[in-house]
Amino acid sequence: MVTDIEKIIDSEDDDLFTVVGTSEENIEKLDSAPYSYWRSVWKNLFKNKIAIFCLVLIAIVIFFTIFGPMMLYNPSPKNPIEIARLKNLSPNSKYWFGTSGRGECIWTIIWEGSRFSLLLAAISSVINIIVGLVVGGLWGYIRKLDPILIEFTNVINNIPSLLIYLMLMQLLEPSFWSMVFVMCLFGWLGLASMMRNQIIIIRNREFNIASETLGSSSRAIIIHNLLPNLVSIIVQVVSGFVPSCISMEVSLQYFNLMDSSQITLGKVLNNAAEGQYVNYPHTLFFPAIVLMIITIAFFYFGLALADATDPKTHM
Amino acid sequence: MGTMILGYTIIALIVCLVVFVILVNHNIIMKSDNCVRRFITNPLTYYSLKRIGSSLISIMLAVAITFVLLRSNKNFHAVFCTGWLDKFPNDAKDFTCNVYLSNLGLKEMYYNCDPTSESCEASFRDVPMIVQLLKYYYNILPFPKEVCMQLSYEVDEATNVGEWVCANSEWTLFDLGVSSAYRKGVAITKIVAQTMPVSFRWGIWAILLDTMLGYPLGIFMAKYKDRFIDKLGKAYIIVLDSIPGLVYYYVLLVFFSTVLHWKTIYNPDDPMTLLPPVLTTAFAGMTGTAYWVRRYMLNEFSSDYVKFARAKGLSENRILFIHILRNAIVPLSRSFVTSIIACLIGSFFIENIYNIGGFGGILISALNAEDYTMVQGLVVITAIISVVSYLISDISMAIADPRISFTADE
Repeated sequence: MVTDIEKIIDSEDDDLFTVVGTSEENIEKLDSAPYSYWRSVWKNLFKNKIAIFCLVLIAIVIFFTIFGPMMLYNPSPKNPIEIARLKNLSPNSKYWFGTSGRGECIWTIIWEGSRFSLLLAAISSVINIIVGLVVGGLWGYIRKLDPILIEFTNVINNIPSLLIYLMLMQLLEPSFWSMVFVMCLFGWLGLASMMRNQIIIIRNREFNIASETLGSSSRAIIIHNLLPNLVSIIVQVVSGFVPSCISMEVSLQYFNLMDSSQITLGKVLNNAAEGQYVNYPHTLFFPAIVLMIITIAFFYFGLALADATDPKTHM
Repeated sequence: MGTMILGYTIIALIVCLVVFVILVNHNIIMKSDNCVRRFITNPLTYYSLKRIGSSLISIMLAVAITFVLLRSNKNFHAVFCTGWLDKFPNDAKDFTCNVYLSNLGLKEMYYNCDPTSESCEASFRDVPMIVQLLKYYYNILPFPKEVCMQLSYEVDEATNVGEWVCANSEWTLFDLGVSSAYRKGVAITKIVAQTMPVSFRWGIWAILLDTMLGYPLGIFMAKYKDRFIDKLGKAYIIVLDSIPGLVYYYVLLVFFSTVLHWKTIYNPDDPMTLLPPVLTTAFAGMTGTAYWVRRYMLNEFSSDYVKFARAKGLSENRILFIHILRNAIVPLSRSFVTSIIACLIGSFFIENIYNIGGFGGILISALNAEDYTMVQGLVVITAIISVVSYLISDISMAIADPRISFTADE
């Protein structure tokens, strides 16, 4: 090959080339579309088939969470005779998922419970994200805060979080908002410390030092230098928030904290596990499957979004 | 009293030592070069002392947080006096309860004297929280002291007045007080000493199995990156990481009990009953192990020494197992040490589901029984164990790995 090319070059044969000339149009024309960050994100995201599948699953779960109890609502029986008659029924046309060991319609309580759990997860994730971003940004920028916050994180990480949450829940009156409070108290620490590490790394990179030397305003540094590099890290941490909130809720319900009138997914699962799931596997199967679908779909979609938002993966 | 003085002397000595080390390191005293100075200014010593200092602060803060959290519960005092007081006449209940609380160090007796009638009557007041906290710090300071191991209630037949007396006291290092509800009157150190080996016995198997499964999975995932086994492993990791722990435990419990027909109640004499908790823990734990093995190995793949080894014509397997794995294993050995020590604590849910009377299991029982002194003691032990395990792994890593530098600024 090499010798062939060398021969052509050496031959100085003008017939091999033709002059095309210049045209104003071709100079102005761009061969590739202009790079846009968010367009590349969407393009990358929609290339990932499983992520789209997860998005569809999330949409289905949210649809049923809103409309599920409207489509089929069987109120839970109150008197013991009704409970004895209705308990542990197999799935049928009246009870689509069957009934639980307490005679409740599993379809109804699953979607009522997921209404509580998803709302809890959504609200506490939003609060955690806002607090985590603000604290993490300050933490990365103000050096004096560093030792205090590191010591604080060490202390909190050394006590099992479940124990702190349990002690707090016993202090507060168990309700929706007290659960939100408990989840938001230390939930942002992971995001904040991740932000802090990334900001310190990016601050010392050559391009940022160059931009600082050239006199960029701190607003420009934050928007153009820091944020595009931080987005994927933030999304990656945030993608774990909804599943971890749901799983913490399930763990807290193991201790029967809430009063029995409020249905949550954690309560549905733990009640099923206390019942006769050996003889009636559907009582445990349906709540477990729905919980799995919700958490896996959110988690995977978050991961795919984190991949897509990483500017290094853009073409 | 003697032990009190000894304890404070030890605290004073430690403080003096710390001040001395700091002063020497900042070139304020002992400027001449001698062996003591050389030992203290050695970065390894200074680093270790600094880590020990910050771990002590962590433990003290953790104790303070649980102290405040537990004591701000509005029926904190009431739970100590429920249940066992029923056999007393109504007018004696309050007094007996107060005597018990002062035995636990929550209240103190004082004499309320009326100057006009010159009569004094005993009444009780709360001990300030800060005093309780300082006393607790003193109690958990590890040096030998005489600790009451069994508190029992004895009624004097003649006067019909009962009081809490110490039935049996021993010399131990820690004093965490006595349990107030779960096993009333028994010293918490004793309960911990009984349950920790139980947790450790099954936990160590789980850690071994986790390592034996996680390392090969991680190695193969790194070796065949983006091939089928890597995708399968990734899917496994994502699924187990995202689903709530309890869902996973219940699903495996159902699988073990209905499909495999295994006994799911733990019995220390029957090794088959060890399998369900060990497998449950190992399958969940190996996701983390495999993930980090894969990640560290992929980091090493692009390093210069691997390219050099390839250029010299070494076989891929030799590079993978001899060169890359050895370097990748260094940061992982640290988490191995930590997780072995964490075995002492066990798992809250698994021990409860499979009925293992281990450390994590009794923590939940204590919470359910509202045994606050015990919860406090167990949280303190948990915090101490996790801090100490990080400390040990950090310092042993610093000694073992020559690449670690001690000064963050360089």
